[in-house]
Amino acid sequence: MTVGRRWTWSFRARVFGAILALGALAAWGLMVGSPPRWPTDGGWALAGEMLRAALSPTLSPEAGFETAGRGEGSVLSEALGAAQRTVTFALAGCSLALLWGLPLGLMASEVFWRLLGRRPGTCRRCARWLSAALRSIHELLWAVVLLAALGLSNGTAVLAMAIPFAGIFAKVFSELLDESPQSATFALAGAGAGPLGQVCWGLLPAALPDLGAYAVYRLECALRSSAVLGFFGFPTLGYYVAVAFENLHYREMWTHLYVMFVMVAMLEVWSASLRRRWVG
Amino acid sequence: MKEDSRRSIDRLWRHRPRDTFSRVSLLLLMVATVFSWLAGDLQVGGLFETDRWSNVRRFAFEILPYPLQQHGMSGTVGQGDTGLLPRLRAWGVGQLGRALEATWITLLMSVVAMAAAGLWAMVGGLASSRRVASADPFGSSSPSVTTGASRKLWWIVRASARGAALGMRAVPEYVAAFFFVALIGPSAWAVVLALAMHNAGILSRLGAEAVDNLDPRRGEALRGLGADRLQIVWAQVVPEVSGRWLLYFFYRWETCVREATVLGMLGVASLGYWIQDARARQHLDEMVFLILCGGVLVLCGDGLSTWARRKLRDSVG
Amino acid sequence: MIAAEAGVGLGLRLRNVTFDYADGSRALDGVGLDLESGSVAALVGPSGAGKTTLLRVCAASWMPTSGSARWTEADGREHVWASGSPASKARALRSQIGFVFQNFRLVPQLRVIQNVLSGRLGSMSLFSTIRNLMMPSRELTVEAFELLERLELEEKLYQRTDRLSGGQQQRVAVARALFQRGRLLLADEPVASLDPARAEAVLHLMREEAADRGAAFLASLHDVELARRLFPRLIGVAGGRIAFDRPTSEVTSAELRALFRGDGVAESDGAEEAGLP
Repeated sequence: MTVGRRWTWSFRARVFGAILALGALAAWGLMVGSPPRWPTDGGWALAGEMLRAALSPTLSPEAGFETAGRGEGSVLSEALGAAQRTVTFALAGCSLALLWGLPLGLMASEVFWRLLGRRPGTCRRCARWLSAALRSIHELLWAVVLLAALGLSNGTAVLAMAIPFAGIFAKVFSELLDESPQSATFALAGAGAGPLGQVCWGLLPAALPDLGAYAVYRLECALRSSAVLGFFGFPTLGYYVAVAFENLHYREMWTHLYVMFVMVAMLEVWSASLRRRWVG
Repeated sequence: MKEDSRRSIDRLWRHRPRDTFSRVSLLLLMVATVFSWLAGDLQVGGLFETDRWSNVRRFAFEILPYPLQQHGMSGTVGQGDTGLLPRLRAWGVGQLGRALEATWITLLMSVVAMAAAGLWAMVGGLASSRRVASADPFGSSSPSVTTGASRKLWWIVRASARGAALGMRAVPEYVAAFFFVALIGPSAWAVVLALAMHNAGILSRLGAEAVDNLDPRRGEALRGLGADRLQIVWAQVVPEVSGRWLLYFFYRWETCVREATVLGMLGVASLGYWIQDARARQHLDEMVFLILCGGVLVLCGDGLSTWARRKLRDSVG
Repeated sequence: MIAAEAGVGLGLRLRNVTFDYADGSRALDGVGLDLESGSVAALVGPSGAGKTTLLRVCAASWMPTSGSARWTEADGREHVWASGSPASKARALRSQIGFVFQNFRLVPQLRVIQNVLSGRLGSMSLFSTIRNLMMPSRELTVEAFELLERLELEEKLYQRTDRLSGGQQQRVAVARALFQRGRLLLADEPVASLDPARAEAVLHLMREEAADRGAAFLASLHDVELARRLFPRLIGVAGGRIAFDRPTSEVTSAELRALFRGDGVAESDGAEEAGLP
C-alpha cells in the first residue's frame, strides 16, 4: 500500500517537473525567435492612456474626423444595440449547435449503442471523428473560412459559432451520457422497453441535469465568442471595441467593454444559480 | 370512487413541487431564442441567395492548392518544363515549412503561458484559500486564539489574492492581448502575457476551491502535532491536491492552445498571423492549409491532455 | 384461472440450469424449477447462494450458461431461452415479466408517476412512449394513482422520486412492477427496506395482484419467518443448488438451520454482487 502511494505521488511530481522544464525550454525557444522587449516610452504612454481612459468611459463620441454624424450620447445606444445583437447571435448559435450536438453526442456515446443492442462500430467512430474535426477549429477561424466562402452576413457569424460548438457539445454530451447512472435502463429493458423507451425514460432523464447545466455554461462561452466575433466586422460588441481601439478612442472603447463585462457578469450569475439548482 | 381519485389527482397536481426559478428561466431562454431566430436580423435567408452560391463555388476552387488551380485553368496540357506533381510538391513543401514553424511557435507560446500561469496559480491559489491563508491555519476556527491584527493582515492577503485572480480572469484574453500589444508592440510575448494572465486567474480560483474542499481533519491532525503552516502545506495539502491541480492545468491547456492559434491574428508570428496574412492576400489555399494545421495542433493537444488527465485520474485512484 | 388449474406445462420451467459469471465462477449449478401460473413461492437462503442470479435467469435478463428455461403462456405460446439466445428476441417475453430490483433501479430525477408508468413501456407504441412521458393519459394516471393508493403512497404521485425515503422508493419499485401487469412477477428482496407491518402488507398486495391476473409470483426474502408465514411454498437455495422445494408446512426448522449454516452445500462465493451488469 505504501508503495502504491509513493508511486502516485512521484508520478505527479514528475508531471510537475516536466511542466516546469518544458515551460522553461519553450520560453528559451521563444526568446531565440523573438527576444522579449521591454516596453518603450511610447508603449508606457499608450498603455497609461488606455488605463486612464478606463476611469472615464464616455457616452458621447470622442472628437475625430470619423465621428461625423454621431450625436451626443450615441455611444451608449450603439453599445446597447450591439449588446442586443451579441445576445441574439449567441442564442441563435448555441441553439443551432444544441440541435446538432445532441444527436451527434448520442451517436458518439457508448451507452446509446448498447441500448440499441448494437456494437458501437463505424457509426460511433464517425461521430467522434466528426465532432473532433468540428471543434478542433476555433470559432474565429471558422468565421474566417465562412467569411471567405459566404461573405459578411449575420448568418455567417451564427454558423461560425454553431459549428465548433456542436462539436464540443457532442464530445461533452457523449461523456456525460456514458458517465450517468444507467441502472434504470436495465430495469426498463427487463420490463420489455425498447431502445426509444430506454433512452427517453431512463437515459435522458438521468443525464438531463448535467446536460442542461453544461448547455447553460456553453451559452456563457457563446456570449463571449459572439462579442469577439465583432473583430471581423459582425455588428456585435467586439466590432465597436475594435473600431474605437483603432481610432485611439480609448474612452469609447471602455464604454463598450464595460457594457460587455456587465452583460457577461449578469449571465454568469444567472447561469451559476441555474447550475447550482440542477447539479448541486 | 373514480370521482374521488380524479379529485385527489387534481389536488396533487396543483400542489406538485415545482422549480419556479428554473421554469421561468427556461421559458425566458426559449422565448429569447425563438425571438432571435425570427426577429434577430440574422439574415439567414441571405445565406441562400444565388450569388452567394457562385461565391461558394469560387471559394471551393480557390482553396485548392495553387498548382492545381493553374492546372484547372490551363486545361490538361502541362506547362512543358515541369509537370503538375513536381509543382504540387514544391507548393506543399513551401507551405509545410512555414506552417510547421508557425505551429511550433504557437505551441511554444501556449506552453510558456500555461507554465507561468500554473506557477502563479500555485502561490495565488494557496494565498486565496480560506484554510491556508488565515491567521489560524487549518484551525478549528475558534476566534479567540488569534489577535485582531493578524486576522486583519491575513484577511488582506486573502482578499488581495482573490481580487487579483478575479480581475485577471474577468478581462478576456483578446482585450488583454490588445493591451499588451499596445504596451510592448506585436511580439509573441504580448500574447504569452495575455494568455498567462487570464489562465492564472482561472487556475487560482479553481486551485483555491480544490484546497478548501479537502477534508480538513488531516490538516488539523498535523497542526495538532505542531507542524507550522508551510509544513502542513508541503506535507498534506500539496500531495493531496496536486492531482486535481494537474487535471485543471491540462483542461485549461487544451483551451489555451486554441486561443494561442487565434491570438496570432493580432500581428504575432504564430499561426493566426499567417492565416490573417494569407487572408489579406486572398490566397485562400494557403489560408485553409494553415487553418487545418491549427486544427491538427488542437487535436494533438486535446489527445495529450485527455491522455494525461486519464492517467492522473487513474493514479489518484 | 382455468388454464392455471389445467396445470401441466403452463408457467415457468427451468431444467438443469447452470450459470457462470464472466470470471468463470459458478453461480447456479444444475437448477430445476417449476412455477405454474397462479402459484406463489419464496426463495430463501444465505446471501451469495444464487437467489438473485436465479431470479435474473427466470426474468430472461441473463441467459443460462447451459440448460434451458421455458415459459408457456395460457394460449399455448412458448418462449424458450438457453445459452446463446439473442437478448433482443427476449423483449416480448420480458414485457410479460415484472421484476422488483433489490436496489430499486428507479430514475431518481423523474416524478413517481413517471417511474410507475415506465413499467408498461413494453406495450407502448413509439408515439405513446414519447407522449406519456410528457403528459400521461388520464386513464393511466388514474390507474397509477389507485395502485399507489393500495401501497399507501398516493400522496407522492407527483413528487420527485429522489426526494422519497428508501422505503417509499422501494414501494415505487413494487408499483412499477405491478403496473406492468405481467404474467410472472419476480421480486428480489422486495421488502428489505420496509418495517415489518408494512412489509407484510406489501407482500399481501403483491400476492393479491398476482392472483387477480393468474400470474405466478416468486420472491426472494432474507427474512425466513416472513417467508414461512406468508408463502405456501418455500424454495431453499444454497451454493447455487436447490436444497429443498416443498410446501411450507413440510419444511422443518432443522432444514432451515442447515440451509443457513451451509451444511452439505458448502461453496457460496458471493459472486452475486461482483458479477455481471
